[in-house]
Amino acid sequence: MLHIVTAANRHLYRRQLEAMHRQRYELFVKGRGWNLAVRDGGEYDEGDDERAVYLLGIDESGYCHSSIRARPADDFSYVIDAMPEWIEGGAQRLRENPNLWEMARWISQGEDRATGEEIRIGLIEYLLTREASECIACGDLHITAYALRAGWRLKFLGIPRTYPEGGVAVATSLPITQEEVEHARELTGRRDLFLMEVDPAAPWSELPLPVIEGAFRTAAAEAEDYAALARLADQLLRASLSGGRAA
Amino acid sequence: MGWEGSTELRTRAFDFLSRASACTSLAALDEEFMRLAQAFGFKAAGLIRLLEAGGAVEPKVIFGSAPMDWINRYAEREYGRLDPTLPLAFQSRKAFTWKRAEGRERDIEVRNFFGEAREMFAKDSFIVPVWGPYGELSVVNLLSDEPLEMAEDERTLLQGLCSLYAAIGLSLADPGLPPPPEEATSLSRREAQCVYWTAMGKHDQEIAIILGISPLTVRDYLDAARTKLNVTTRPQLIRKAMTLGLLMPDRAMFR
Repeated sequence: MLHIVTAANRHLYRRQLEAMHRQRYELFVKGRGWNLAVRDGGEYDEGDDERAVYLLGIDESGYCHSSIRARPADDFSYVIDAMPEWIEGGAQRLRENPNLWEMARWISQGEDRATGEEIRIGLIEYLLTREASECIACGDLHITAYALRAGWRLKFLGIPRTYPEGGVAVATSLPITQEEVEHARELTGRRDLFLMEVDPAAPWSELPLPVIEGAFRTAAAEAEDYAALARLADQLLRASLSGGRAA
Repeated sequence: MGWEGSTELRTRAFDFLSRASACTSLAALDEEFMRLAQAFGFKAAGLIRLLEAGGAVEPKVIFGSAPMDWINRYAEREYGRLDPTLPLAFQSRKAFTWKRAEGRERDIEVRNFFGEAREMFAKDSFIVPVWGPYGELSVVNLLSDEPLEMAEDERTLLQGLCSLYAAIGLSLADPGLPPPPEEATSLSRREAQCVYWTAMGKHDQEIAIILGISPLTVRDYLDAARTKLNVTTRPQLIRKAMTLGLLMPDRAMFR
């Protein structure tokens, strides 16, 4: 399952987000030498604000092992505001699309095939619910090549360039359409439901995340769509609360 | 940092990328890439698989164009045993040329090998290593009738374009990631995470902090991973992890 973390339920994922920021520090600051801000052992930037959405893969111990960030790009975008020369034809024109989002900081430790698929499919599915039509990024060449190889039909916004820390990256755009969802699902053979969003107002919201995820997994086996998934999972978790047992 | 080189080449590079992302067939992609390669002064370009993970060197043209007479002769005469571009392709994250591979090579067999290649089909070659998800090594090979002299920025741009050509081409030739070897699924998540951070150069204490577990537990997970993957040392563990796809998508970060 892939957890959708927004400003509303972020307080329920404090431990997981701390781990994510620490991983970002290890991978991007220490590993790739990126010149980024570090705070309390974690890497943070301007995109980590109230409008950021994180998609997290969490294991049975509650540890966050995979993550990606997405955020609307209308007011801030790394690509448009910090790297405009990387966009052919001018970066500001991208903001003419009010449904533009930006993704960044994709982490996958010890590639778990299922989670990799869920991130590649789930990001597009989630952004469709937010009425996004396009998601831009500036990714290192190897990540971009991996995403292409794995089936994302990226469009290029510019040519590959060397950035100050010495790596090579390229600006891209991922179409956010139902067609792209179908393409990604067909390539992977995944027809299941795996996006879950914990409602912070739900009485079970403070149960351990693996327990909550377990209920969503059980519900996903029966649900036909995400609305039904949320309803069924809610029923299971409320029942577990009233029965005094974990789901 | 920008590229101060030819505006025309930059324009052609962007045109290629724009068209490549819209290609729905390998033939169309090859045509676009060949047009780009010619703009850079090359006469032929293709993706050649050198070896599958753990396998012997057996060059095979995956797509694009390659001198088949040479490919066949290379196999017949087992040139893989003396070709210095192979160890360079393994070791180097950057593109290189025959000139660099040849270096100050004194071995007569190697010098004859390059002499033969130059006589048969090209004066120089620009070689871009491309690693697959499970340790398979390929190269994008661009052939030139002139010795190659390129500015660093032009070289970097061309290397990037070759990598993207390979990725788009492979996604057209064989859509989706291939399934992982069975052995890959034998590791638990924690074991895979510990192997991943070991490959990133972290020691047990650092991995323990990252994962929020004790160093002793990290060691136990790594011991278990070594046993399951039938290796004894950490370098062997990392190499094995590469061939199982455990280091995707950061595979290119590791040697």
